[in-house]
This record gives sequence, C-alpha cells and structure tokens, in this order.
Amino acid sequence: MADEGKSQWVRLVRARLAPLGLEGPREAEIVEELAEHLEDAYEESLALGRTEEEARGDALAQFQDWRLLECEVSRAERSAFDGLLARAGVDSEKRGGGANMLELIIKDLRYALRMLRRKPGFTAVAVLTLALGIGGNTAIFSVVNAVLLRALPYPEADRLVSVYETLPQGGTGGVSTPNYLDWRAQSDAFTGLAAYQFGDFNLQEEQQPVRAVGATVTANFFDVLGVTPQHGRAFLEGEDKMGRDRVVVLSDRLWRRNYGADPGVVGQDILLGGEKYQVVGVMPPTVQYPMATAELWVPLVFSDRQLASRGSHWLIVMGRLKPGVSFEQAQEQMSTIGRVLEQQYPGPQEGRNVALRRVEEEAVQGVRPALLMLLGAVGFVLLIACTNVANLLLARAAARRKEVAIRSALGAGRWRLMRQFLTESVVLALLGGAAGLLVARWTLQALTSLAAGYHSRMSDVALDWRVLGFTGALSVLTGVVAGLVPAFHVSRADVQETLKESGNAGSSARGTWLRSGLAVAEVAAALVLLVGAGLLVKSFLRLQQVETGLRPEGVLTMRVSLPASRYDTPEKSSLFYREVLERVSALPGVEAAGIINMLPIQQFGNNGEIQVEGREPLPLGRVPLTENRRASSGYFKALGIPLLAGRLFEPGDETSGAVKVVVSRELVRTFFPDGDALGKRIRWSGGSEWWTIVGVVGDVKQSGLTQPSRPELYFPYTVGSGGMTLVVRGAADDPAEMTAAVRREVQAVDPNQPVYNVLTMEEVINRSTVNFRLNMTLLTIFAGLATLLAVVGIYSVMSYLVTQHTREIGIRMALGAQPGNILKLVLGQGLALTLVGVGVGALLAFGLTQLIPRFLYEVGGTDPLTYVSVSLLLTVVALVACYIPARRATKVDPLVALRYE
Amino acid sequence: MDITRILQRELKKGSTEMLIMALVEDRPRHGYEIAKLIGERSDGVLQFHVASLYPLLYRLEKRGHIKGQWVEKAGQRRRRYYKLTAEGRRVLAAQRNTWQEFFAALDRVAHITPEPTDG
Repeated sequence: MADEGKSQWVRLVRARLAPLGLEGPREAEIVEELAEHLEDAYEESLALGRTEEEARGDALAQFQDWRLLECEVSRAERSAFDGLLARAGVDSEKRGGGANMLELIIKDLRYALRMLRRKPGFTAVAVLTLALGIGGNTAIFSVVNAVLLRALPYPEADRLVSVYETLPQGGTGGVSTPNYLDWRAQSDAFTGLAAYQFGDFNLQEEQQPVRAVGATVTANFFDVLGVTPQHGRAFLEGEDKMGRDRVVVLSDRLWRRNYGADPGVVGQDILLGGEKYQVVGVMPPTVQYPMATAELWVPLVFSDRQLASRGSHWLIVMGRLKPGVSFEQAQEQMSTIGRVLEQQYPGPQEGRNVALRRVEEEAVQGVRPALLMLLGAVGFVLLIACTNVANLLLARAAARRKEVAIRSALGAGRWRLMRQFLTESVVLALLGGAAGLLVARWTLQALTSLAAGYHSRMSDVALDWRVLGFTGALSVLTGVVAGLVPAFHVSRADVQETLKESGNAGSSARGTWLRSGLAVAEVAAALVLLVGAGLLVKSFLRLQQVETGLRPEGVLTMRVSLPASRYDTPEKSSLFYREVLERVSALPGVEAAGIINMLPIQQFGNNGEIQVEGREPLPLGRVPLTENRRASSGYFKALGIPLLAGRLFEPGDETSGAVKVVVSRELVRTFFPDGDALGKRIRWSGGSEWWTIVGVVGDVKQSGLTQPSRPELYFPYTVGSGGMTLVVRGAADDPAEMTAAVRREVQAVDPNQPVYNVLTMEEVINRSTVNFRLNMTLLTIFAGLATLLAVVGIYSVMSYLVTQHTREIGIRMALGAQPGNILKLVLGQGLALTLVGVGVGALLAFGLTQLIPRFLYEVGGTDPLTYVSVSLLLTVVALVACYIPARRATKVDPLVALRYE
Repeated sequence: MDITRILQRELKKGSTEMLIMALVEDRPRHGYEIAKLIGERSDGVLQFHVASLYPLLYRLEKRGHIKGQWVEKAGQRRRRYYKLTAEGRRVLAAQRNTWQEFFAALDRVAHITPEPTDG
C-alpha cells in the first residue's frame, strides 16, 4: 500500500519536474526525495486520524507552490553546474559558443528524445502523420527515380535517337526500307543507324510450343545500342542477308528460364516457328530493347518486295550520334536528306521528311506528366502533414510556455531555445521518415501490382540509396518546416508576461491566429487535391459510359501466331483458321466464334487513305485516315457489332480482283454522305485494286475509349496470312472457363501452335485504361489522406480553442447561455475556418487544374459540379470534426470552469 | 507593502541557511524531519514550504556545507540524510557569530529584548 502510494507521488513529482530537463540520475534522486517527503506528510496525517483523501490533501498542501519549486530547484541545480565550470576555469561567455557544439547537439537530442518519450500519444500522432506524408512521397519518388531519373542502361544513352518519317497529315510514322537504306548511305551524323521491327516467335519447348516476343533487327543493332553479350557474340555483318540469317541472340531471362543459364547453349540450335536457328549469343539482363519483355533477337532480312517499296513504312529506326555531333545538327542533316528524297521520289515521298527524337525522352514521354502530377499531389499531402505537425507542436509549445520562460529566465538565449524546438521537430520528422520508409515499401508493393503494364521500368522501382537520400533530406526539411513556426513563436514569448500569467488565458491570441491560419491552409490544400481527384473520378465515370460499339460480356480472346515458314500462303493459313473456327463453334456453350487480325480498343492499328471510285482523289493529307482490319463474319457476331446494311463475308469474297469489303457506319458517313454505300467501290489512294462494299456494320472504338471512332474497313481474313486473335462468345458467366477447351481445339488442328494473350474482352478494355485508373486511384488516395489530415487539423484547432476558452464559456453559461448557443458559437468558428480554407483552395485549384486537362476526359478543369460537391463534402466532414469539441464545450460546468486555473 | 512583512521575509531568507545547518549539526536528518523541526522549534513562526526547503538543501550541498546520503534502515524506507561537513561547521560558526553581533547591535539601538522595569 505504501509502495503504491509512493509511486503515485513519484509520478506526480516527475511530471512536475520534467520540463526542467535535469540530468537523468540527478532527476531521479530529487524525484525520490520529494516523493518521500509527500509520503511522510501523508502518513502523518493518516496517523492523526484523517481520511485518505484528507491526508492526500494535507500532503499536497505542502507543495502548494510548484512553480516556485521548479524555479528554485532549477536555479539551485544550475548554480551547481556553474560552480563546477567555474572551478574548471571555463569562462561562462564561451560556454554557449562553439566550444563543444557536438556535446550541445547530443544534449539537445537527448532532451528531445526524453520530451517525446514523455508524451507518447503526441509523439505517435505526429510520427504517424509524418510517416503518411513522407511515405507517400518516398513511394512516388521511387517511381520517378526508376522511370524518369535513372538513365537507360546503355552507354552514353543520351546519344541514342529514334529516327522517324514525318507524315503529310502531321505526326511521325515508320520508315520504308529504301528510305532507311538511303539514310544509312547518305548521313554521316551517326556511328550507326539500325532498323528493327517487333516480332512474335513460336518457340518449340520440350513439350509444347510457346510464344516468345522479341525483335527482328539489322546486324548492327547491338553496336548502335552499345551493348555486348555476356556469352557468345552479337550478330556479324552480313548475317541480315538471306541464307546467313538463321542465328538468334537470347535475352538473359529466356536463357535462364529455358536453358538453365547454361553458357553451353551458345552454338546449339533451337526451333523457332519450326525452323532451326543457331544461338550465337546471350545478352546481359540490362538489355531490354526495344521492349522490357524482349526475349530474343533474330536478324532482319529485307525481301525484294520490301527493298522496292518506298510506300510501305514499317521499320523503326534508331541511331547513335557521333561524338561531337549535336542532336540539332543531326536533325538538320536528316531534314536535308529528307528534302532531297522528296524531290527524287515525288509520289511516295510527297509531304514526308525526317524527325529525330531522343530515345531517353521517348522512354518516359507517356508517363512523365502523370508522374509529375502525382509527385505534386503527394507533395501537397506532405505539406498538410507538416502543417498538422506544426499545429501539434504549437499546441504543445503553448503548454510548455512556462518551461520556456523558466529556461529563458535562467539565461537560455533565443537561438538556444529555437534550436531545442527544432531539434525536437527534426527528431520527430526523422522518426516519421523511418516509419515512412515502411509505408513506402507497402505502398510500392501495392503499386507494382496495381500498375502492372504502366511502364516497362516499373520493375526497376526500388528503395535504393537515392530514394533513401531523398527520404532523409525530406525528413529533415519536413522537421525544420514543421518546427520553425512553433520555434519562432515560442522564442518570442515574453518571459515576464508568461510567468505572471495565470493558466493559459490571455496572450495566446497570436498563437490562435497562427493555428487558425495553418488549419485554413490545410483545408485549402486538401480541397485542391479533392478537386483534382473529383475531376479524375468524373472523367473515369464518363469513360465507363463510353459507347464502345461492342458487347464485351462473356467474350474470350486469345492470340494465335502462324509461322510464315509453314503457313506461307493465304490459302494455308485460311485453311487452318477455318478448321479452328468450325471446331470452336461446335464446342458446347459457344454462341459465336470469329477471328480478327487486331483487336479494337488497343492503342495501335493500321490505317491509310482511301479513294472512292469515280471521284477525284483529295490531296494527300486531307483525307481522314481509315482503319483497316481482316476479320471473319463470326467476329462481328461474337463481339455483338451490329450489321446495319447488306451482308457479312461469304466464301469467295477474297477472290483477287473482286475483293468484297465490309465498312463501318463512320466510313459511310465520311465518304458517302448520302448514305448509299452498298455496291460502291473503294481502294487505297494510288492503289491498283478496287474493292466492293457489301455490308455496313456499327462503329467501334478502335484506338482506345478516349479516341473517336474512325472510318473502318474490314477485309475477309482469307485475303492474307499471319497471326490472328480468336474471339469467342460463350454462355458461361466467366468466359475464361472456355480457355482450355478452345486451346485444345487449336492444338487439335496444329499441335505446334501455341495460344497466348488469353484475356476476356472486358480485361482488354480495362487494360486500355490502366494508366487512367492508376492516376485516378492514386490521386483519390492522396486526396482522401489529405482530407483526413486536414480534418484532424481542424479538429485539433477547435479542441484547443475550446480548452483555451473553458473559462470564457463557463462565464457565458453562468450568465445564462444555453448549450445550444455554445454549440453554435464553436461550430460557427469551425465553419468559418473551413469556409475560408475552401475558398482559398477553390481559387488554387482553379489555377492548378489548368495543368491537368490531358488527364481528363470530357470534363473541364473548372467543372462546377465537382467544385461544389467536393467543397460541400469537405465542409460537412470538417463540421463533424468540430462537433466533438463543440459538444464538449456545452458540457463545461460553470463552477469548475471558473475555478479552473 | 507593509514594512514588517518585508523585514520578515528578508530575515527568514538570511537565516534559513543557518537554521538548516544548525539542525544537522548534531546528527544527520532527512528533509521531512528538518521541515518539521523548524516549525516545531520556532512555534510555527518559521514554518516554510517544501518549495524553498529542498532547493536550499541542494544549494548547501553543492556549496559543500552539508552532505546528503541515502540511508536505508531496517523496516524503513530509503531516505536521504544530510549531515554537516567540516566546511559547514566553520560556516555555521561564522554565521552564528554574525547573527549574535547583529542582534546585540539591534538590541543596543532598538531594544528588542524587553527592558527590566525600574525599581
């Protein structure tokens, strides 16, 4: 019982002496001694027959004047310190100076840690707040670091450029074979110009064929890239000529996955599309070009037809600038070459020239604006977190004004006090940063699964030294920013005033203003993010309502690639597909099955300019581009694309010279404004063969949900050969259930034929909006976080105000104010703060959303509905947060409040 | 402010150090005991609060006039006992002297001890 009693005194005394910051053991000694005294007094009173409560009161009466005690103890202890130093011969002037800065810093740190440990609740809230802010920033910065900042892993990657042909309609496109060869021969700005094309290969593995992606490349490809293989060699000059081209270079990934990382695979043959290719080299893992998933490279051999056709722009060209040649010089030279070629070949080259782009820029062009926007958004979150912590520190600083006053009365300089406060906030922020790293780790794990396919370099995202440095620097900066305001505030406090003051009333008006200002800033920042997120969400909802022109539910798609070596004529591949379609259509539960060479809603397609029979061709570049695809009749049925007029394909439609085509409604609208297209003939501008229109089908979004439908032209699949995508509509709820059955039927026709890219049509559509959804999701999370933090901020300010004004509220109530009046008073103040914040935030958002129209779809940056609804949302949430302290205010007991000192 | 109260305060301040040293002259005592003894022996006139007592003890200890030591007696709690040091003894003697001279002088001038009545 006695022990229990004493420990209660110990706690009491320790709490009172804490602000003095005495040395640990000395403090313990004093605390014990004073507690002992209290216990003695208490026991004595008990012995005199007083009740426990009375005895406690008697004991406490001895310590009536705590402030005097604190002051005196501190002075006594300090004089001892002075005495020691004086004896050691240290001049008191010099002590505060640079004599032992490190010692002082360590002292500050220890003091700071002790203060933080004393208030675990405060510390936890502050650290958590900072962890969210810093963690979010670290996560986004990791992505920026991996995607934007880290250079491509090739030597002097800044010298690598892509070279394109410019189109008469504007923009850039692929390069024809003769043009590539002319450029190579005529330009001396590059150490080399390589050409490549993406490619799919059927790679024969032990049991069954799999699809391998890669590229067909000219022999100088790896030289231009500046890489050497880890095993074997790269391509030799001349290996891109017919007859010497049966060689292959493997990627590190394929080499590890399929060949157990055995260097002995170099020199062996592998089967690609049924043909033998000799492995000559294995590239290191850093070589991921032209795409991160590249698994192998084979030589690019130009056919006679390709060598002759200046009108077929199918190559992608990459060059390495010679040392001393600038990007601009190279562009100038290539433009000159382009003009000469235009004069030389006026037909195919009309309106075409050459454009260079840096490979480094291309690698990030799609994601840079989005990443910068997200970095900005998460920066706002950190600002709010900072403001919140500054607010918490201010509240605490107010509670510690006496401590500060005592310290400064004892001679602590202003700078000394500020340094102490800054040390505390920086320590807090560093703790927040450490916790933030955890937050970042989790965020990144979530992010990488959410962002699969966002960018090829997402796989490089990691918490490396650069990220750690960023987080460290950010934490210190955060600590300084969050601590500066309270430090200034406190160091300016008037010692005399503070010591004279009773309780908390009075001179903290400045503090109240500051805190209110910070809360307003938080609300404003949160509103900016909410507006941004609101606009993105609204765009996304619009996107969901986009009429795609097809019915994706219940549809399964999968890709089949026919190797040109075995399916070298349209007849052979048509036979294969016809048989597959017959078998798949006969499967139980399958309602319709078809094929198409390229699925819609993806970001690529084939297009060209058409000409209507009997009309003058429009000048080049003035005709809307027409998409073209090859499909079977079943394709339209399977995807639910309606036949509006005429018929679909019939056998024989592919007959050369009498090819029949089906067109989209948009094509009819564009080229046949009178609506009468059936039976009319069209062809490629400048082409030789006319095609007859036999049917009109509905429009689909060929190049993504946000793009308008273009005129489209469908050929019967039987006119060509090559890879196709199977499209199967089933009765089952989950179309993916049909996968195994369909695969079986394909391999029943050709056992060497792999199927891949197995996706439901809904997945295809979802993937087309992955970036959009990622931006929206992240911005919404940030906005939610910002709102939460801002609301906590408002809440803490209102709580503080209520505590500060307990006395005033008590007086009001004593004078007859009703709880309802008090509630209104407090809520009114909270509402005022919120509304000012909302107003400022709306103005800010108005300016900032001008920067993001590219992320929006059919929603303006000033969409009034979004502004109004997020403002309302924020106001309501803030009011709810104010309600808690407001209710507490109504519970104030006037008697207690008036006694409250 | 009332002159008498100022005088009282100043006298107390100047004399308390001597009182404490005098109380631990014969044997070591702890803080609570010291506080009680001052109150008892002065019939309540010199009673003062812990807030001034302990800091004074610390100051005296730091100056080397008294020395505090934790002592644990059987059946009792650990307490800090203060005893007079040799240095403290010299200071106490000097202070007693000063006060004696001071009171004698006061008495000669202001007659603070009651005078014997005439025959």
